[in-house]
Amino acid sequence: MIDLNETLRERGARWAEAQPAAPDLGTAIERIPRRNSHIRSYLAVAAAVLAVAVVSTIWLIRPSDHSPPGPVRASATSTPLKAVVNDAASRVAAIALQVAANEGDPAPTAMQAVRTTRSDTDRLEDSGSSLPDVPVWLVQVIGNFVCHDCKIPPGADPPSGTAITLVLDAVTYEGSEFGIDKKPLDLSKLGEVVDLSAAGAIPSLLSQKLRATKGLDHAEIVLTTWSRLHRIVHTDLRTTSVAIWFVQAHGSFRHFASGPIGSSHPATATSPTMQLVFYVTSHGAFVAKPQLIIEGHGSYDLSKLGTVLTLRP
Amino acid sequence: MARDERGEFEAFVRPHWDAMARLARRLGGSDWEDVLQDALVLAWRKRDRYDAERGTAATWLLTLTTDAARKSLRKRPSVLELVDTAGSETSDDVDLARAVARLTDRQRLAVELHYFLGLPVAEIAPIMNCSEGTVKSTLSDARARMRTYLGGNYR
Repeated sequence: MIDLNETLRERGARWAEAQPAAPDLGTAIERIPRRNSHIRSYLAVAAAVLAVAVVSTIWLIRPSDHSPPGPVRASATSTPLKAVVNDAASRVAAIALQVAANEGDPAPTAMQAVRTTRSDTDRLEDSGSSLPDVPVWLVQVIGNFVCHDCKIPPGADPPSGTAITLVLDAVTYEGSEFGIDKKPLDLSKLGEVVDLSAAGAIPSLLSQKLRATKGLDHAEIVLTTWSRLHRIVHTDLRTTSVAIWFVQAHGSFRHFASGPIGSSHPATATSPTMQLVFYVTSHGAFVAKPQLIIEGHGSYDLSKLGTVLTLRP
Repeated sequence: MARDERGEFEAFVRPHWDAMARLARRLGGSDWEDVLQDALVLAWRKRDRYDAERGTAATWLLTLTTDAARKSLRKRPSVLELVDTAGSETSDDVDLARAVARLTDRQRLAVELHYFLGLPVAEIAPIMNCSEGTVKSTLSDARARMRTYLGGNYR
């Protein structure tokens, strides 16, 4: 007989010994005033908008910010997640969706981006300022957005609009600007516009992995959020605006059937569908190892989650 | 944040930062870094409310970490199977982890604090906002429940 109390003590001690060092406390503390300064910046801009009452665009200029706008937060240390893939369009798409969801529209009608330079985005926005000539992604998301989290002067309406514009550093994917506007910008003036809802935004390693999957006939892929997934998949998982890649694979897949805990001989079964959930990091990077696998639970209507893309081996 | 204020806050948190990180890892899953950061933000915002006469700094900070995790996480999935991401774990480890995950929230919290953070019952009680006796009975109930999950080899 095994003593459960002792087993738990031993496992707990072993687990504690194996833990890596905690994130740097100083860095974590540094992030606290940055959050507050965002609010102060926003208040200053909002007050100016009310005073002048002629500006339709509200911009947050955050040159010292190391976090993308909205819910996307940088890690205090390097990400603990392995197999992170640097795949530009997919990263930009994931960040754009997370920001859109955070601003009230998890199902935006369009997401576009253009790779350009910081100085060129400034020219398009006609802000009159002079900014460094560094490579950036200018991202535009079309939908219905209201910034309920924004701090605004008493009596003012929260910023709202149909177009969110983001500027992301092309190397680090850190956000430097965020705005909600009533009308979209013409991104084509800056270069070739990338449709972030198209197949080109699928992480390349995801395509490779799926094509190599044994028994795969085809796969449906959708970039969505946890909260939208929760609408069609019964789960008690948290519902957040964090973006995920959701894959529904069709074919013939062998998997272990769940048996009682402690069983040393789990049964196997074959399913015609299998669903996989892949996380993205706070900077939009695709995490190649699936966080969840759903087996033997039938097929879901992915059109409720977003634009469905089909991949065939 | 003023530099001296920041320094005081850092000195206050630093002795307990590792424990906060370990608890966030246990309770926060893949979002543990966000849980940890949220706990730190809570501590900063509520720092004026900390009362040393009502409990230790460790207890207070771990309580905030627990609160941050509670807000961040829901129960484990009922129909979805979490993929085991720890390649070095044995099947016994996985069974034990799954049994812990199937406990009630309070039972799991007691187990995590006692066995995985190594806290004595007296320090767990204020974090769970209950008496030491209740912590003991919660741990006992948790072990009993785990035995039913794990089969007849455990006593």
